[in-house]
Amino acid sequence: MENQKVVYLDNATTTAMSNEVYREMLDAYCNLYGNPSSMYKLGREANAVMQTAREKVAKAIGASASEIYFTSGGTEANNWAIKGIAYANKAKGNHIITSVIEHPSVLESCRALEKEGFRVTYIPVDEFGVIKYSEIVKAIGSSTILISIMSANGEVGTIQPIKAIAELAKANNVVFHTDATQAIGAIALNVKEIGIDALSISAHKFNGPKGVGALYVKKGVKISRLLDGGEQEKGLRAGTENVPAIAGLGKAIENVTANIDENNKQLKSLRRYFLKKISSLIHNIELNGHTNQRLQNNISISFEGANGEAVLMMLDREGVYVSSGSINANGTSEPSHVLLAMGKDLDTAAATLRFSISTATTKEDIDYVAEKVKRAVKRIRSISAIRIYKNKVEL
Amino acid sequence: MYSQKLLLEFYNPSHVGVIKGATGKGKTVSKIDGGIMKIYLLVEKNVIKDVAFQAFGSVPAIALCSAASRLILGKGIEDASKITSKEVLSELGGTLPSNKKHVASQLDETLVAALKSVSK
Repeated sequence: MENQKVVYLDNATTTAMSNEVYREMLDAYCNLYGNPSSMYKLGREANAVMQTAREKVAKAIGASASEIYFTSGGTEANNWAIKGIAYANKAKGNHIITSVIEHPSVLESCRALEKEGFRVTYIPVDEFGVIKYSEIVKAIGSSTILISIMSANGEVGTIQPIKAIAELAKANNVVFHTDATQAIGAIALNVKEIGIDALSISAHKFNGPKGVGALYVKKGVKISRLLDGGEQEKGLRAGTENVPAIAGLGKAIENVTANIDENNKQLKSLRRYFLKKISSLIHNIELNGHTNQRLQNNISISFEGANGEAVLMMLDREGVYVSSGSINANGTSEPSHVLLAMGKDLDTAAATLRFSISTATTKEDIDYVAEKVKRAVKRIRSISAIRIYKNKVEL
Repeated sequence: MYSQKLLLEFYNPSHVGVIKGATGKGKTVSKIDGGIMKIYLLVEKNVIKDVAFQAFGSVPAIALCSAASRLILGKGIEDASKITSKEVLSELGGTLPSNKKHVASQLDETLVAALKSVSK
């Protein structure tokens, strides 16, 4: 088992850190250990590294460095954006609009606010996972203070019409936040051109380190303080900054946003190859998400009659790493709330695997994976209480 | 995470399939994850002579059905009725993660349905 081939196709969950990012961080760990708030040189140097990273993040999304706040990751950025903007704009109203397919850090933040008296509208999606814009138009009212809609969905890869939503928000004087954790590096995002007021970033989704992210907050947008106890991050998020991780975030976002078009071209061709291969080897499968309004690294497939988690664990033995449904913190999975919201039945949602490729994925990797998936699905279908015959299902 | 014992059972399940001419059958469908369990019994003179199962379900669903089949095989109906997911789980290294507890309940329901259906 020692020389087993490993193919990691779970890049939407997290990515491998790049060597370049690692070197950047190592330098910060070993040489720039000063507290960035200290006045002496060692502190100033650490501070300078942090400011460079801030500028890189800002540049990647078309913002100003002064509008970037570092956080511990995407979850913190989402929590802060939702709750912080809601609290700071409470005097204006108590209504928030979000969607049913958001990340749990957005959904649970909204549910927490509901308990405090805020009103939340959860916008549905169509069969492709596209948020129903007309429902936002219907929901928006004089008490609406915040709209939070993700830029792209990580489970099925559908890109959302955030420009139209941002314009709608602006016309109604409502703050627009977008969770861009899956979109950074996959689509070109310019906050000024699109009209985004707040945006969440997570470094480990694009070859950066885990435990660091950022929240962009447009100048003038009101947001309440997250942590008390210091003047860091303009007094909004106290605590000595994680300088090495921040340096890593800066490097990673610079790298990933440098070649978006080129990377997408490569991913698109790999994705097409993957689909061709899988559909030639396995029958009774269904591809999820939008045909072209989509992230090119994401491949969500339902294998009729084969439970996703069971297939995942068969693949695990073969060194093939993928994900199924919504991952639970205890390391098991549940049928995805996104697929159910798209109108898929429970059987289909439970029989779904998500493969998320990267530019490091090769055609050989795909050949290997396709063969292993074929065998795993066949095995799990042979145990299944749903009998699958070509294009025919028997319960 | 699942226990090593449970994973071993999942990777090497016994009693997978159907029994032609089964004298008892139980089938349940989970409203939580869509999982389907089917247990087939062949009972002769009140003794379970053969057991088979099919499961459209997650890792523990397959492991639990497999281990349960093994535990009730050769037992009288009354003794088999005393076997619950608790005994099955202790064979598989303990408890299930909190979001998978429903799989154990589903196994209990399927076992009861199968045993109850046995034609006398």
